[in-house]
Amino acid sequence: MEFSIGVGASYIALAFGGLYFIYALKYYASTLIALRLLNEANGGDEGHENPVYEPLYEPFVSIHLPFYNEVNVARRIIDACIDLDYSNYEVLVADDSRDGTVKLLRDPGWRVSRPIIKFVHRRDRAGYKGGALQQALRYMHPDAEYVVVFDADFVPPPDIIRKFLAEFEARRGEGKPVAAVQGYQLHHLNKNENWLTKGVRAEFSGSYMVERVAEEALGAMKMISGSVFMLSAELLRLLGWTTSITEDWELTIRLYLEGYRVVYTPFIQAPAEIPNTVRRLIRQRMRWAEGHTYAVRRYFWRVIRSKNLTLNEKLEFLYFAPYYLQSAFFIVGTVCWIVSEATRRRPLFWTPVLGWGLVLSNFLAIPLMGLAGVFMEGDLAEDYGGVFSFVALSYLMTPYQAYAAIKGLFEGEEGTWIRTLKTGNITDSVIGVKFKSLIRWFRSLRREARKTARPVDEVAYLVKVPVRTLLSAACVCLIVLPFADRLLALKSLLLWALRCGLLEVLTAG
Amino acid sequence: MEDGNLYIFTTIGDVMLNLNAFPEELNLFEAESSWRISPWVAVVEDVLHRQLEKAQIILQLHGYGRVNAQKEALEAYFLGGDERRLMQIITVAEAELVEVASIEGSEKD
Repeated sequence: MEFSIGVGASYIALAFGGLYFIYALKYYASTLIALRLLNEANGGDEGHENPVYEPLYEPFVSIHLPFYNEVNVARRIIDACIDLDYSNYEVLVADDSRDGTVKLLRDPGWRVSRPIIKFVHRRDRAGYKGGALQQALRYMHPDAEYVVVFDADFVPPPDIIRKFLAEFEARRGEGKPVAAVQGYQLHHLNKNENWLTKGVRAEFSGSYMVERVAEEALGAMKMISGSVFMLSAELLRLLGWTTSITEDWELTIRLYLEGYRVVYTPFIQAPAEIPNTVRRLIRQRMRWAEGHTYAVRRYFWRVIRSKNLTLNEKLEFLYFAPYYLQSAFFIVGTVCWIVSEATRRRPLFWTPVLGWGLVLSNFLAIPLMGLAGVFMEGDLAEDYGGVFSFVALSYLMTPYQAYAAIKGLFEGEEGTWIRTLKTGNITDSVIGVKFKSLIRWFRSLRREARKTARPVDEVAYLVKVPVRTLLSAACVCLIVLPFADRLLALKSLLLWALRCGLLEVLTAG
Repeated sequence: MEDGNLYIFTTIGDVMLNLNAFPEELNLFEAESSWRISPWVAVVEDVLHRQLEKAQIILQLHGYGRVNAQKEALEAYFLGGDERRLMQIITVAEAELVEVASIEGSEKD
């Protein structure tokens, strides 16, 4: 009996470890791609500047701000939106608040400001954020050509509309029509508040500086991520918002099903807050896990059968489909691994190198991606510690995410939206110039043919080269680690064969 | 008042009255009611008769007069601030009433 349980557990552990390793491979490949792009940019076109939107006319832009009890941050985001460097736009607050936010919105000062500010208050929260955004869509200016969405805890910089429009313009005529441009949610405002905020900041760096950049480079499916994105208003009027608890993910799928695509650029950033307590973060991630998995279940076969998605987009969807279910796989795989270790019953091909190599490789994939993201933002020396917090957080979130993802997979109706409280705390400067200079490499995606000039900054380059090489080497080592003994055996075999062949030749000679 | 909605509007160039003028007990621009505000139009949805009566008194005290206008025109005015359509519908006499009721020092022609 012990034999069968041990072997069975070891096979299950290997299956889940192998599945997780496929994800790890993608993270390592993404890290290598992003690091390589940075390398090219360092040797890239020094004279290249960020695209500037110089229009013949300024299309009308409607900025939608969904609010729910945002008394700590409401004035900050509205003020930031009023100060944008653009003339033809409105700000539309879709409010479901029950707290002091309501009084703040009645402030007569908003009525005399430019641009136009509209407030739409609902007495219920029907449809949660999606419902509020649908309400905003209903009351936006009829001339609106684009819609921009910010969550209440963001602080958009003055040039953000121009940057979005420039990106739309730059991508026009490139492949499938662009429905939306997603920018970088720069979770920096309170990054040094505590260990948790440091960890989440590292996580977002990995996601936005590495993973999404690789997705963009590979032409894969990209997500609209709830905030800091610009959409075609015409398309949004046509499709509308749904009432999913992950309305952004559902809209993404529907846009791709209609034959459109989402583009991502880390070049457009808006700083934001990070949830500052474990409880708030857990609730946020559980909502993501449940809503994401629920939407995947609803749309899976439609996406797979659709002729409007490319192979790369479908592969990315397949990868992304069980994204949160990974947590459940991780738990099952780990338990089975412990059982197989305890019983010491494993298949013959399971060597210690394979087993521990898989564990180590899987364990380090996401932290390494976070580390690379922080490095590429130029904050490695300051923020590397966040990666350790991030690792701790990942394991802390695992059971909660697993539960929520399984719930989303099997439930008849989606659960309720539990909002993430914004505190208005700021511990860091809004945006670093160094970051702006470093992300120029992203532009190299479309300028590969023109890479001839010298490094932009010799000193920075000298610092970056060894770190970049080290990170790249770590990626490659961790990819081959589970198979190291087999590779060494193969090498010995080849050497033996070569030696035999050589001896034969010498003997014959 | 149209279809249970109360529309408070000014012509462009005038400043909307301070909505804090409505007491909390009236529950017009509070958390428990549905409302919308643009620089020129404030709308409260599903207003009860007793709320409307008190709101009218407050509005009259602030120099606002009652005019008849179609809901579509008012909604279009809320969405885009295009007052031409609204002004076509309002009778000349009523339009004059709006002018009189507007805040002094208006830049309106």
